[in-house]
Amino acid sequence: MLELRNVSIIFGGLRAVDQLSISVRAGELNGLIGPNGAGKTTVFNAITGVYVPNEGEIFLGGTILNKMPTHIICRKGIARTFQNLRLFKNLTVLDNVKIALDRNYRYSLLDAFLRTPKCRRIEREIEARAYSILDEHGLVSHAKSLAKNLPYGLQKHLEIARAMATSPKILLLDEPAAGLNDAETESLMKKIHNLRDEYKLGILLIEHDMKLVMGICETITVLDYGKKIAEGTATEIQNNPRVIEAYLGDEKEVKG
Amino acid sequence: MINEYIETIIILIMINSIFALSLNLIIGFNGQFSLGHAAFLAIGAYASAIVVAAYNFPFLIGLFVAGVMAAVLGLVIGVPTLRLRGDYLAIATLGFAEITKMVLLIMPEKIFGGATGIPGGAKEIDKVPQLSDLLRMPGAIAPEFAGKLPSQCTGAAPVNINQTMNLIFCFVWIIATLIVVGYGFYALYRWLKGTVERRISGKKWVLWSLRLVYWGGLIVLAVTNTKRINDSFYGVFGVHRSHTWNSYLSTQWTVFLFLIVAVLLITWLCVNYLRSTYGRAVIAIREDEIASTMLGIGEFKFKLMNFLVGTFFAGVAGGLLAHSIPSFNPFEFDLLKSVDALLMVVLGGMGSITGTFFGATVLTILPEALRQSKEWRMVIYSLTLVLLMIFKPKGFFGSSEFSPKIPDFLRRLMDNRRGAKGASDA
Repeated sequence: MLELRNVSIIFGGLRAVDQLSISVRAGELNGLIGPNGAGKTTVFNAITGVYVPNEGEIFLGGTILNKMPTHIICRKGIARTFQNLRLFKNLTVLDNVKIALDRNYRYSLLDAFLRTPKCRRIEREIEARAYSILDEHGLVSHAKSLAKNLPYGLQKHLEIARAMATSPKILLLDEPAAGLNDAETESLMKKIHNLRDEYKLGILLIEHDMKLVMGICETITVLDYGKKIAEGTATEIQNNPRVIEAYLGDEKEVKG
Repeated sequence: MINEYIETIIILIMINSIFALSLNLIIGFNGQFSLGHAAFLAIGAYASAIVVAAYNFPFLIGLFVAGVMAAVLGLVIGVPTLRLRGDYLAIATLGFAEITKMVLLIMPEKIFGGATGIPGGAKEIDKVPQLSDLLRMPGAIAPEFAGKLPSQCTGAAPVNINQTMNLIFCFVWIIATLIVVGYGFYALYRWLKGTVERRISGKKWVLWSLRLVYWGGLIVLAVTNTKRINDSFYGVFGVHRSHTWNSYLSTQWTVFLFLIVAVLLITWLCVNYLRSTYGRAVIAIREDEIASTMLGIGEFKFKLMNFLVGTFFAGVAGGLLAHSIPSFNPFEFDLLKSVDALLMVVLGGMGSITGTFFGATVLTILPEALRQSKEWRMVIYSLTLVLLMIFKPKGFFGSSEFSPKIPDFLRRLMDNRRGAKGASDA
């Protein structure tokens, strides 16, 4: 489904991502891990078109995404969440989801200005659909409150709900469990599993919590200094000497 | 008759409301900082004045052309500048506005009037027809006879009074005032009541005095209007005729009514627009550009579309302005005019339509009210603004709206209608 072939991203003299190849098939849950600054988020930015890869190609089901603008890539079926939440804070929870849904519905600008019956009908459809999505994510009771007033855990859920509202084929999650307590993390992970099974989504997940990634992902890719140093199942990764070196080295640097 | 000075201020409040609202669409709702909005007002004013005065098109077509021409200029300015962000955008729009001013200055003098403006040096235009000329109803008396009894009207007869028109117009006027003033009054009451209940819940007497004022006001409104209806019958039957014409048919009030309807109509359009998929995309861009592109919103497309909508309404405001002031020239539409609109938006609250009206009203009245203080006028004016910004940094309304509840019985009516439609859809 989603495939990166030898993708490199170069900032000046720095190879932030170096000859990286990953693939995510429909219904697959893959993890992307690595020490701080390994280039994980840069990979996400390349996939979503924020950065254009200097080398290599990114494919989604046969179409090449390299130079497409971000909003078109989204419409092709890639959605993402952000490390530090990027909700529309001053809008209601309902509006956050509606905005994500809107691209699937069309009426003319004139319909919008005059609020014609056609516009009203479509707006009703959007609202019904938004409520059903909120219901799915357990947010209906908060529909009318502002996004910024939600507890942090629910904000994470809202961001996933918003990403799902664009009906993606591939979902990119950037540290979904960061800042959550154990119980919240567990419920979130369960949800990610369910989403994958229900919608046959391909999910690529960045996470720092090793235990968590090991428990949930089928394939794990380890990045260090932009290079892929290992790929495989959780047990393979745990026993890989290069991975251990990368993480221990990282730890030493922190201590030093 | 309200005296002409006050009349002009009231007219300017309404035109400024439209102008500031159009800027709020761009700054408050889309987060794009434009500092050249006066250019679109200028284009609108020139377009409407020329189309109506030099080419004798109907006034409403003039207004439409004004909007369209402003949007065309918006396209020319928006395409290169809207790719910029923040301060850069502000400077670029400012530059383009100055260019627009200079271009108006060097346009053919016969029509555009050069530095003296319209009608100033424009030979093709004797006078831009004013709203009071354009909106004179059949049966309206000439201004010089206003307030006089027929016996006092020496010389020519006022005009031929069309009695049927008189009666119809009286009724339309009365019903319109009842709806507009009555609803506004009701809305204000609900809002105040809500605030009172939230803030000072313990004090019953506040609520009671509020109720007293509300019901008292409604009764006064009803009684005075009944009196007017009676008067208009007298008018029809030949008693106190001039009194009737004076009260209802004076063109001044027609102008006010026209402008109120224009403001309400444009507000309605804007509210609809902001509640649509288009409006939501525009607001999403303000909230977070990166997140909105990740949700499939073509950032540039929506910024440009919203800019064009904003400039269109600025053009309409310009068109109305051209027919409300006796003359104008390119120098009036300078940076200060843009800043005026910006102040109205900031004072009222970015992203609040109610706030825009509030800002436009206060900032139109304030400089006039301070006229007595002579040379201290601008000092006090500026000081007021500084103090307001210190104590109300988000403007008076923030991004919230004063949106009153629709009366229950009306809501029920609307729901029924909607329900019936929904059923037929299914």
